[in-house]
Amino acid sequence: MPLLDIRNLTIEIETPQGLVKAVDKFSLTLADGEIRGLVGESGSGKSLVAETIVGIAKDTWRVTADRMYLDNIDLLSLSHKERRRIMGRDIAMVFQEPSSCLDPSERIGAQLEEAIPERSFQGKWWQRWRWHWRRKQATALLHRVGIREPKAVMNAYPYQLSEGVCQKVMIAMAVANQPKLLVADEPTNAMEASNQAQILRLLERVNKLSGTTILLISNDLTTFARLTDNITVMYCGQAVESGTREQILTRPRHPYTAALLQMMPDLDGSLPHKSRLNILPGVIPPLQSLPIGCRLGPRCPKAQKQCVITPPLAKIKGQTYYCHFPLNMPEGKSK
Amino acid sequence: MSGRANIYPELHVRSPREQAWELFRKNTLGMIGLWGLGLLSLLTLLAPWLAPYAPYEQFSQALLMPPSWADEGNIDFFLGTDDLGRDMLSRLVFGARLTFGNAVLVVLVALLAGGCIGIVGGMSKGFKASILNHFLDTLLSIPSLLLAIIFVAILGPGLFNTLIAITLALTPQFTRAIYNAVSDEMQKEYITALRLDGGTRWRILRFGVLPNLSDTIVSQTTRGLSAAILDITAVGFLGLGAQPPRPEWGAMLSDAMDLVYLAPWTVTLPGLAILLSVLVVNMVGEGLRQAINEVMD
Amino acid sequence: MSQVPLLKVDNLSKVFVTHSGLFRKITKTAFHPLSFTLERGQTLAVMGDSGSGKSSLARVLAGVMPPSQGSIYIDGDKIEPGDDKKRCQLLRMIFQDPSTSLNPRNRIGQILETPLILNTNLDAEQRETLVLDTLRMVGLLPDHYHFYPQMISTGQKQRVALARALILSPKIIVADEAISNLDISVRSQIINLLLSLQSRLGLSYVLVANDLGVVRHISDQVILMHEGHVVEAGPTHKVLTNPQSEQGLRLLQNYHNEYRWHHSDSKR
Repeated sequence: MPLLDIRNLTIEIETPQGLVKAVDKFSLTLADGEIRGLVGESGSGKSLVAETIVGIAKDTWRVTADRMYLDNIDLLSLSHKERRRIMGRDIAMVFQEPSSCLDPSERIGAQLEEAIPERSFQGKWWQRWRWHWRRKQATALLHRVGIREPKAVMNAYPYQLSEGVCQKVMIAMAVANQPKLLVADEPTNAMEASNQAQILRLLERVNKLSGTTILLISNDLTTFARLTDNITVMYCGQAVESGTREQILTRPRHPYTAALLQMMPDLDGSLPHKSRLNILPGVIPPLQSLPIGCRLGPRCPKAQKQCVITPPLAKIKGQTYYCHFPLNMPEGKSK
Repeated sequence: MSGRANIYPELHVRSPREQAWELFRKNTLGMIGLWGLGLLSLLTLLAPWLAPYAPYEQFSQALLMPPSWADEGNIDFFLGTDDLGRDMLSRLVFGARLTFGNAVLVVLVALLAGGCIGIVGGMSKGFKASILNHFLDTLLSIPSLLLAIIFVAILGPGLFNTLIAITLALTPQFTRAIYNAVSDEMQKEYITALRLDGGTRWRILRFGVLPNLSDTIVSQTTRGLSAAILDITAVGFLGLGAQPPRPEWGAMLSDAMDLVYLAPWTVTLPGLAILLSVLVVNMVGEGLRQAINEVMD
Repeated sequence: MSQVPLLKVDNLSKVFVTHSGLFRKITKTAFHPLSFTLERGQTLAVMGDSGSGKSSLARVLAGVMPPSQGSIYIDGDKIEPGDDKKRCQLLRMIFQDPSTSLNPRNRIGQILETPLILNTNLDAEQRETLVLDTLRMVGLLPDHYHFYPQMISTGQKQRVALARALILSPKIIVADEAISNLDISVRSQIINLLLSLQSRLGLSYVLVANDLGVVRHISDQVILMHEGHVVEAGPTHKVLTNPQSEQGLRLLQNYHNEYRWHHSDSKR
């Protein structure tokens, strides 16, 4: 039984130009305890998917799905109130810019204590009314996310801390509930390289120790690829390819995935100095004017006549993709 | 909007002003306000030709005649007459000139004066700017109505004196708003880029800062306009501004206060005129501000 | 080639002075005196953590703020702080965020024309031709002339910013993290554009950058800064393969963390 099961999620957004399909028939199945990478550039709709999962969709969105289950709860049929309860208990989210998500006028300690739920109390009943069990737990939480001086951080205001520490605090708040699912929306985006690795390590530890399922969203596949178990690649509102880490990294079928992997120069000098990089020509099409057929079509180096027809979902050994002319196909199987 | 332009480059590229206008036209409330404002301006400009009678003309056979839709009304005096037999409609139309017209004048003068000081202050840095800043804070702490009353106490009652007082009271508000907007604008990177292009201060102001002030100017002007209308009428009502026979709305209102049970229309109508003019100004201002903000985001 | 380096920075430093209260002054050093040179057609990458002063260095070079000390020479000519007319013919800057560095009220044509009006004697027709040529050079269409900045994507905006820098045919372009905030596919396009412009026009770049892979690929020299000091400087390949400083080592370690996927992995 998968933890999160989404089938054909479609998100339409009301704009002055009318309804725009920002996410189109997106399917995602998260097994319990896995780390899933969701990769896409701006406008791919990856953040919309995340926000829909945690239930902070805006009023101007029209969300439809054939199926959207967390464990065996149908998320779509819940009332707003029930949804919020589930959200508080089972799902947590970590945002892009941690320093803007923390209340600037309150100490970290107070904010963290607020995030600790009543039911996480362990101890004798007469100890419950004593206020400092929360404080103790908050300190323990900070310790768990790898902050060396929890006391000092508890007494600090967000502006006194670096982005990296703020993000650790955010993660601490997120795991305070011991959620089943943690959605991390580009958690390392605004960070220096040194902090990025720490945050990724922390996420891995959360996953390994508490068995929390993590949906990790990012625009750069190469920086965190080895952290994930499975990877889904999005382009213009569609999940163009999905598979295990090994499959995606070593045998990408969709040209877009291949391009994402090859585009950025690497430190090992596999490309001659100052040579031209592999690029996808053109720009990411705006949602109001998506091309017909395969959405990568106009930018795809391998596009052919057939690509004006929307490619069907193909599946090889659990790796799914939408492409008429997939790459890296085993001999004899390609069309 | 951007997407379509990418694919059909031959399409006419609309400027932000055209886009804002188009958005504003879709805003029903704003458009109603604009028509109301247009009507008000028309009355202000063409009062002598539109009003059926002169504002001071007395009809002794028709004292305190109710509006024409009442049983005792007469269509000759559409909105009735007051206790001296003067036609209410004519007085209200001429009053638009005194109240609304003067408010517009006051705001224009305050906008020009305040805007200039604000721009000079906003473009300068350091000591000059901080002096201006503190000076403005002091001025802003005095309520405009109080300032007007003090002025009148010194110079004696009269419409002209109150107008000067209200102008002086409004100017710091304009200065403040424009000063803030300009100094915000000066922090923007495109201003830095313009400076690095070798742009003179005048050029930075003309092409970099001024076009981006429209939002502030619109909201501040409408706020100022409604404040000016209210102040002029309030001072008139207190008997410090326009003096009684003149058909200034506030003065008319206070003049008719004794008649409120006898002839309620003499009080209600000027009051309604004040209410509607302030409402109309704010509706237009709000609609414009929304449209500009939406285009810029 | 002449003996004078294209860009010579001598003992340059920047100290911020803020007044708190009436008389008290607080000074904060953005970067301590540093010197370097840059040759024609070469790229200098400036790296460092946040707060290392790398952005301040780029801004001082571009003339956004005057240096506290030291001088900048281009082609042996000293550039006085505040002499924007002379500076902008030789050295131009691209800002980090293209959505704030282009005036939303001006058409792209106007934005690109402004430096020409201010610094050249070209007539309207010549200006338009030059603007259109420059647009084409950075991979945009002549149709973009009439567009407003908010109508185009971020990548295209950055191309416009590049066009504005190029239009006065400068010798040096300073870019303050101009490529790190773009999407990957756009980023690689801009990198290619920068590289091809460099080989065609012989431009020199001073790039503030963070991604080691990018730095290795496009730069010839590297300066690594930490808390306002230059901790390491030298040819890129040397610094990135064999760093001498603690910060350099840490940078490499963090780049090679266990989660990164390398191109060479797929060939295994």
